Amino acid sequence: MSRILGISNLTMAFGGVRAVQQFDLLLEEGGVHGLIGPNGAGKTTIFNVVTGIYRPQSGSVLFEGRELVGRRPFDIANAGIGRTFQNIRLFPNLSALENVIIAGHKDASYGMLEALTHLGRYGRVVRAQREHARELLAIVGLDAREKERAGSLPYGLQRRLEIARALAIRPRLLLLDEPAAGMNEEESVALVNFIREIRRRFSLTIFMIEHHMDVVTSLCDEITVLNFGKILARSSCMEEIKKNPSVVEAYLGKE
Amino acid sequence: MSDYTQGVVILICVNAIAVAGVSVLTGFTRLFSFGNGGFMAIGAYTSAILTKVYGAPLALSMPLGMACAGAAAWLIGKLTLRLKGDYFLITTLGFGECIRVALEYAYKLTGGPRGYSNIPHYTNAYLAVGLLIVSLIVARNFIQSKYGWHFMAIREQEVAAEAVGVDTAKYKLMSFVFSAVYAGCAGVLFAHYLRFIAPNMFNLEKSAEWTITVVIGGLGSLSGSVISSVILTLLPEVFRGLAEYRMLVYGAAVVLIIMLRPNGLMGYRELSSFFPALFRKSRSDREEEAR
Amino acid sequence: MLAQQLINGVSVGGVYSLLATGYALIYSLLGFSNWAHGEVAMLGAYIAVMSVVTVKMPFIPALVLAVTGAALISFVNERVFYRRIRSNNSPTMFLMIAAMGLSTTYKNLIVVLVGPKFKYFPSILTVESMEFFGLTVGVLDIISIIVSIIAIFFLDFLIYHTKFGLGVRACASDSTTSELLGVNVNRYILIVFLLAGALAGCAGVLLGMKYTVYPSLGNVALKAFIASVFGGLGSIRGAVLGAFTIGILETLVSAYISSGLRDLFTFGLLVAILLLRPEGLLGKSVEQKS
Repeated sequence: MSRILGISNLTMAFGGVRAVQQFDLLLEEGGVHGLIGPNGAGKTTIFNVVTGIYRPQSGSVLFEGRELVGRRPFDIANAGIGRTFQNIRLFPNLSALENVIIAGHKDASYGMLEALTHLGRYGRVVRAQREHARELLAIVGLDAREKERAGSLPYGLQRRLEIARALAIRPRLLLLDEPAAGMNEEESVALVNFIREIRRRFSLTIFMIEHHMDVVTSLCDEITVLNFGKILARSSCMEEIKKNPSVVEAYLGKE
Repeated sequence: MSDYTQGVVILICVNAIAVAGVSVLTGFTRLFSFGNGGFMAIGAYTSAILTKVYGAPLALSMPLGMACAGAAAWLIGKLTLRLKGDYFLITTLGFGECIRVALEYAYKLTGGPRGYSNIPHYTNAYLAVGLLIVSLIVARNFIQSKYGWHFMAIREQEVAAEAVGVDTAKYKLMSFVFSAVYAGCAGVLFAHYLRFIAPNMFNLEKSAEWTITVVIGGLGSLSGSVISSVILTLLPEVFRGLAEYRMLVYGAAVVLIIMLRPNGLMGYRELSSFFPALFRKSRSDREEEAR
Repeated sequence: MLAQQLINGVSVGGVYSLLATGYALIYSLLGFSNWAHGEVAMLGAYIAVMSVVTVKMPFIPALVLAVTGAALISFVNERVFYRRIRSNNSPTMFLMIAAMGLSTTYKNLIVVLVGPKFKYFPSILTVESMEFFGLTVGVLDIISIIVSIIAIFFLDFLIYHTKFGLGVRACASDSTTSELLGVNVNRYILIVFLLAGALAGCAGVLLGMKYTVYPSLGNVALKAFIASVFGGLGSIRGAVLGAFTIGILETLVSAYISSGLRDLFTFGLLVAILLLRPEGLLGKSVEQKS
C-alpha cells in the first residue's frame, strides 16, 4: 500500500496563538484514521490546513507525493480530496440534486458557447450529470427527496447530503468532520456501515474527526489524540489510548 | 408607434438589460456593486465617440463598447475581488465615481460635464426589444449552465464551493465581467437613442438603482429582477403624476422589502415556476417532469 | 496664499470629521457603512434653515432644534429599521442596501415635500471675515474649526476615558460577549446613533451656512466616508486623521492643480487605499481568508 497523505512538522498560528504545533501524520492508502481530542484542540484547523483554507506557518502536507501547502482550496479539492464540515455547509437554497450536480462539475464537458446557447453537447452532458448525481443520492438514501431545498432537509439527511456531495468530486481521500454529530446509537451504527461501504465501493482513504468513541473504535485502524494543538497519543488500539494518562487528563482533568 | 411610446419601450429595454446583468452578479453570485453605472458609461461613450468621430457602424461600435466595459471590469475585478463583500462594494463605488469624474475631466474627448451630443440615432424600439430578448435568453442559459451553478455555489456557501473544486476567484470575475458587458450594451442602446449623454447620468444613484431593483425583484430570480425593472420604469409613465415620487417609492420599497420580505418579490424562483404551461420546456426538462 | 488654503482645508476637514466619526462609530458597532448618515446631516440643515427662514426662529434655538432633530432621525433609523433587519438575521450587506434605500427615501422626501430649489441661510454673522497676520479668514471657517475640535475632543474623551466609552469599545470589539457580560448592547447602539446624528446635524448646519441647503447635501458625506475608510473603518481616531488629511489635500489639489481634478483625486485616493491598504491607516485586516 502506498502512502496517500503525509503531514510533517505542521505549525499553524493565528496571531500569537498556536493552534497546531509540530503535527505529523502518515496515512496509508485505503486506511481509516481517526483524530480525536477535546473541543478546541485544533482538529478542524488541521483539516483546514490540509484543504488549503489556512496557510501554515511551517510544515508540509504531501498528497500522493505532491505538496499541498500554498495551493488554493479548489485546486486541492480537484486534486482528489473531499471533505465535509463540522457545521454543515450545504448550498441551502438549492435542491439536494443541485447540490450534488454542482460538485460533479468535472463532468461538465461543454464550453462557453454551448453554455450560452444550450446547443451542442449541453443537453446530453447535463442529462448525464443528473443521472450520476441521482446515483450518489440513491447511495445515501436521498433519491426520493432530490428536489427538496437542501436547507429544509432534516439534520441527519443534511449530513448525508454533504457526504454525497463530497463523493461527487471523485475524491481519493475523504475528510469527515464529525460525521456522527447529533446521532443516536442506531444512527451511528448505520453510519459506520455506510462509511465502510463507500470506502470499499469508491476505494477511499478516510481521515475523520469524531467524538463518538464507538464510531471511532469500529472504523479506525489508527487513532491520533490531539490537545492544545499537540499530539498526545497515537495508536492502532483504542484500549491503549483509553489507558494513556495524559489522554485521560485531557478529557477529564487532573485528580 | 408614437415617438413617446417608442421612447418608453426603449428605456424599459435599456434598464432591463442592465438589471439582468446586475441580477447575475448580485442575485446569483451575491456580489454587490455600486459601480456598474461606470460600465454603462464606458459602453455609451465608446460607441458614441466611435460612431460620431470615426463614422463606425453600430455593428462594430456596440460590440467594441461592450468589450471595453468588460475589459474595465476585468481589470477592476482582478484588483478588487479579493476584498471582503462590503469592501468590494465600496471599491466598486470608488471606481464608478472615478470613471464618472474622469469622463468629466477629459472634456476634449468626451465633452466634459456638459455632455456629448449629436450622437447618431440608431436605436429604435425593434432593436431594443430584439436585444432585450436575446440578452435575456443568453442570461437564462448562462445561469442554467455550469457557470451559473458555480455562481450559485459561491452565493450559497463560498467555502463549500471551493471545497468542491470551484475556482471562486475566477468565477466571481466572470460574473462581474458579464454584468459589465450587459451594462455596456445598455449604455450603447441608450446613447444612440437619447443622442446625448453626460457623465452624471451614470452616477452612483444609477448603480444603486439597479441593485435596489434586483433586491426588490428577488435575489436569485432573473425574471423577478426584470419584472421589477419593467414595473419601476413603467410606473411613472403610466401614472404621470407619480414621476416625482418614483425614486421615493424605490427607496421606501427596498427598505420595506428588506425588513419584511428579504427574499424580495420572487426570491429564488423564476416566472416559469409560476406558469409552467406558458413556458416551453426543453427536452431534458420534460423528461424530468415525466419522472 | 498657502496659509489661506490650509485654513480652508482644515475647515473642510473639520466638517468631514464630524461626519466621519459618526460613520466610524456606527461601523465599529454594527460592521456596516451607514449610507443614510449624509441624509441625517441634510435633514439637520433643512430643520435649521426652515426654522430660521419660515418660522422666523432666532438662530441659536434653530441650531439646537436642528441638532436634536438630526439626532432623533438617526435614532429612528436604528430603532425602527436597522434593528429590525439585524433581528431578521439578514446579512450585513442588507443593512447597507437598506441604508441606501433610506438615503434615497429621505432625499426624495425632501424634494417632494419642500422642493428641489436651494435654500439660503440669511446672514447671521455680524462679521464675515477677520484679519489675522495679514490673512483674510472667514469667520464661518473659524467657527467650523472650533466646533469640530470641540466635538472631537469631547468624543475622544467620551470614548477613551469614560465608563460609557468603555462599554462602546467593548461592544465594538465583541458584542456577543459583551451582551453575555450584562452590557445592554442595544442601548449603547442607540446612544451611539444619537451621538452620531447630533454630530451630523452640526455638520449639516455648518455646510448649509457655508454653501446652501439642497436635497443632495448628503452627498458630501461620501467624502467623509472616504475619510473614514482612509483612517480605517471603525476607528474614530483614524476617521479624524483621515478627515483632516482629505480636507487639506483636497483643498490644495483644487487650489493649485485644478478644481476639476479635486473629486478625481479624492475618489482615486479611495480606490488606492482599498487596493493598497484596505484596512486604512489604523484599522484591521480585511482580506478574505481563502
